[in-house]
Amino acid sequence: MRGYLLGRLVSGIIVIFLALTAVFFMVRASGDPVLLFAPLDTSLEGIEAIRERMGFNDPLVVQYARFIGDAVQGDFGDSTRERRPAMEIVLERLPATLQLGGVALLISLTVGIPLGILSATRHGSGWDKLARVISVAGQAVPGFWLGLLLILFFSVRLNWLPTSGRGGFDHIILPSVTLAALSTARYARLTRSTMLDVLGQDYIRTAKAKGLGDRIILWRHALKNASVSLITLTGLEIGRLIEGAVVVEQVFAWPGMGRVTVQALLNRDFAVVMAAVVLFAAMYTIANLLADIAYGWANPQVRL
Amino acid sequence: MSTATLSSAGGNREFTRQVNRQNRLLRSLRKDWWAMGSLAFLVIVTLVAIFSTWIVPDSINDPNFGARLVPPLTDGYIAGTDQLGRDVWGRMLLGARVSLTVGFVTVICAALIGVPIGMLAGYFGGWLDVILMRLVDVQLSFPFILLALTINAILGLGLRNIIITLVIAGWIEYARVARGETLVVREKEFVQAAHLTGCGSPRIFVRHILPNIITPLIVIGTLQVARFIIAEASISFLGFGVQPPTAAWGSMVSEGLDYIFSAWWLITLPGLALAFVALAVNITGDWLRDTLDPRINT
Amino acid sequence: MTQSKMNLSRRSFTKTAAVPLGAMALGMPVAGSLGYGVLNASAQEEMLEQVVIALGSDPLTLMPNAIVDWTTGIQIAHMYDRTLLRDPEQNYEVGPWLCELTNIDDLTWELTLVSPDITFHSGNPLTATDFQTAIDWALDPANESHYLERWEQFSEITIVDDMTFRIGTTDPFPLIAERLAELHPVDTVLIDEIGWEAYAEAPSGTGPFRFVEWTRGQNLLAERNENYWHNDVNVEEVEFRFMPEFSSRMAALLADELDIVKDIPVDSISNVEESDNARIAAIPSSRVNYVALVNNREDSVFNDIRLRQAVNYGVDVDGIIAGIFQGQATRMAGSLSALNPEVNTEIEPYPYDPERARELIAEAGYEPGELTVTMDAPQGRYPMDTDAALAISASLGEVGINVEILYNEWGTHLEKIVGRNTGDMFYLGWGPALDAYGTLAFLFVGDSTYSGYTNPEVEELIAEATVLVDAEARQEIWDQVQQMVYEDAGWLFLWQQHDIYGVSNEVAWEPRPDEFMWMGSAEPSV
Repeated sequence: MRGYLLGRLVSGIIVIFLALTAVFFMVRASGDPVLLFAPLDTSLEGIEAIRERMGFNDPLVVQYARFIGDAVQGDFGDSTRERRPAMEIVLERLPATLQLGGVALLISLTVGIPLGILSATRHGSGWDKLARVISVAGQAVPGFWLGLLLILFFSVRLNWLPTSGRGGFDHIILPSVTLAALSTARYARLTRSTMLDVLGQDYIRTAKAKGLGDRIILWRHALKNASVSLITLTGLEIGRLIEGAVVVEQVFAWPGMGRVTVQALLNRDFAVVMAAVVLFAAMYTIANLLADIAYGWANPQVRL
Repeated sequence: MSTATLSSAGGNREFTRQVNRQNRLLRSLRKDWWAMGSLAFLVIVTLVAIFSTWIVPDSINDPNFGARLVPPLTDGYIAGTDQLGRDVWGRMLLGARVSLTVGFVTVICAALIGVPIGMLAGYFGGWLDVILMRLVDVQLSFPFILLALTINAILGLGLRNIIITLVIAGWIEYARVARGETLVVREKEFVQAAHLTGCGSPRIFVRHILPNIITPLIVIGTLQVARFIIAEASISFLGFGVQPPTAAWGSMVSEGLDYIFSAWWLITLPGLALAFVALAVNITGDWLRDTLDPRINT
Repeated sequence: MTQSKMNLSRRSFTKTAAVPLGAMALGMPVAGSLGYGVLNASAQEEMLEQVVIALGSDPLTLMPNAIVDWTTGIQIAHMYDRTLLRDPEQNYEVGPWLCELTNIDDLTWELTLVSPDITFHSGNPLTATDFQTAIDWALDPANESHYLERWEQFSEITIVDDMTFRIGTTDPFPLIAERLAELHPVDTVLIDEIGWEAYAEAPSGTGPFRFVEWTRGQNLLAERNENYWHNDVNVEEVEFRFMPEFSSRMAALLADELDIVKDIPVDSISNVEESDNARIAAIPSSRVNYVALVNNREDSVFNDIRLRQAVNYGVDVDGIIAGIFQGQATRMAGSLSALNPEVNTEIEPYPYDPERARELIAEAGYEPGELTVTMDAPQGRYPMDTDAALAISASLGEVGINVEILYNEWGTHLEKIVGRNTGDMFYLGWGPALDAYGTLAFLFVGDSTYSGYTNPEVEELIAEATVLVDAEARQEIWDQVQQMVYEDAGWLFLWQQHDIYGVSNEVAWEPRPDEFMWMGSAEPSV
């Protein structure tokens, strides 16, 4: 277990390092941010002076070495726009993203799994059809479009829910529902197919033959077995929710990491982008780790 | 029944297998109305996309201030007009071209890059495999859409650049799947046998491995089409889209944003078109998977 | 939902003892003015509980005098006063605010505080030293202030007494009033106590609102400064709410969650007007839009004056304003807007004359449709920019110039202009432009950062005007420069954009052409 965790940690660090390197060269290739923040009336000499002072005139390799050198010491540089540590800027937004993603995950678990069970146990029924429609439609509707339609209907037309921003409970309803649409679809679908799979297995038939009640079979056998793939999905799903949050945060002005990273890309605020890369990669690594641990717990045959 | 067992008898059964597959597809299509409808819809949209430049007049993008923001089904405009007085329906027909081009070209290019790399990595293992798996990790650790935006920020606006961006961001999925499947197939007797009888690696790849891993790749490819179409729209929405006046459903929605309160059709209709195509592609993909290879979970 | 936000409170308040003279002279709305206030005391005591303003993003900093950015500046301006201010009653010339400016000689200027009773939110009195502290901070290169270049002419600051100080300049600096309009004095005593860093986190200015809280990514709150020196503030609390998407801003305005939203698209005006909650307040902005016809680069086709003129004759600018902007833009005749106090009023816009355009193109040696040029344009940076660029291209297509538009992401657009890598035309907006120097010296001098135009005679005149302190003589040169670039067709002269605000019916507030959105004088609607 310990060796496993250590191995995970090392590979996580390698991933972060590689991601940083790739993104570093990519974002720098798009130019430097000086023109974007210097006032329009700055002279050419003034712009050159700023570039010089901020080190954008140095060879890329020198800039890279400097960046990595600082990064190992935990310093990801200052935001060129806001003039404060980039990591601080991204970390401030982390809770908002976790909250949005967490609520969305909760919704998709509590809606998607029961829906999948219903549609598997009543194969071919109206529930089954509903679940299939939801799972296919959920994957076809672009998140930003769904979000806009929800805003139009529930905020503008009906005036029931706030249009955007983070605040009380009512603020999170629309964004989390939008974000959850896609993963609810995936949960419903996966639950349905694994349940169908499991329900068709020999041991379930044996259990049935032995006269065990449907409910016991469902809970003790089918669901337990299905949980393994659900856990694997959840590991992946966390990553997908974070990805979906990038767009949803933009639509609903949700002050999370995705939005701050998109802004930073537009503003070429490199330090913030790099800090975000580190956090995203760390979140990914942790999510996978948790999924692995949960996997081992649900399926004791897997030894970590 | 999975392809792996079906094909374990060896490459010489290739022909029978293909016939089998086709029969199976046709038979199941006749039973599945949803799949049939979706496929028909996709065929129509594809035809529209191919012939749209003939159907739609060249002057479609010329401003006509006299007919701004005409609502749908008025004055002969099926889907109304936009802020420049351009016919939305005509532009939606043109948009089919962009969406489908993005969807299919990207998937094909991504597959062409990803599949060989994945097969090589799966077959030979070693450093190539190590690098590939790290790349997969790196790519998964950074949200796809952010990666696409980052690449697009360098390349600039435009359809070609969006495709490049999506290919760069998307090939790795194929490499991952191709690698996994190759790992399984590599151990099969017929591959081992081919190896022993002195078949060269290229021959083994093309004749023996590829046919046996193609099914999951086709299924994933189909579902990826929808994903890429939506990704293009999302990229457009975030402000890195195609060059106006090019009509693309994603950028039409994002241009329509300013008119969300005054002209509902500008975001609704292209968005609907987008959703319907993605839906049809997904249903088709589902059906393909259910029929060909139910063990794939996507 | 949140209807409660806008309820008027009947809470009464004590008025500040004295209304300073400077305020009266400026003609700003002063709550305690005689007559009206006495007769209608109850209306006076009504106060807006909260005004919520939607902005696209957070302030970049709360440190004054550091960053030039509209969003940042607007929020800081609610907490900090400006040294001088453009006066709507005086044609938007720079007039007194915290100080009055007097010219001593070509190289010396004196500033005197308009009142001895101005205090910071911390309670410390405002003195001449506080201006010096602010300037010194900005001029220290270590602080990376954007004002470093704007104020670098300030060579020496002398404190005469608590109320008076002098600024010496390296060269004659007629622009000093405009530059000082941007200066916010800082609380020297407090900074000595807590340091700069803490000060930036918890600002203390002399402005109408006191900083309360900044929740990054969400909002910034500031509460009423009941001791505001200039006038009674009639708003209990200002909230700046950060909403990047227009659609959310608009929806929130219609749902009565917001009080002020800037940049309502012209086609949504009727939605606001038809709503029960809000109205439209539109004003021609001093920000101008133009298309540069590049002639400061050897390979540009627009080195030929005939083609530059042809473009000006060949684009139906009025038609575009009517068609795309629904009239919400004001045509510019020359390079400066009619709002600019230094505009040459004798210049008339180029008439739309496609025939003349075709002739000029033929004279320049091109068959109709033979010439193809590329126009670089931003997308979504200025009102209707995407559509306007398309319409310009269509207009020119009709007279025989094919224009291919290349839309750029904003950073790329700027980079291409600065690197002189654009097509032969590029679209740009500029402002707020309320003085001649701020536009002409930057956009009509060949090697200045964002210029696409050069003309040695024009450049000579501009250099001359820049150091001329005598206003009348300076105006003469500016008139001449404007006439020359007009005849030379240096740009495709387009329009001033209109700032279109959606304003809650419960707030009495009028916009200004210099984009200075300020709640210090807002009142409840009667």
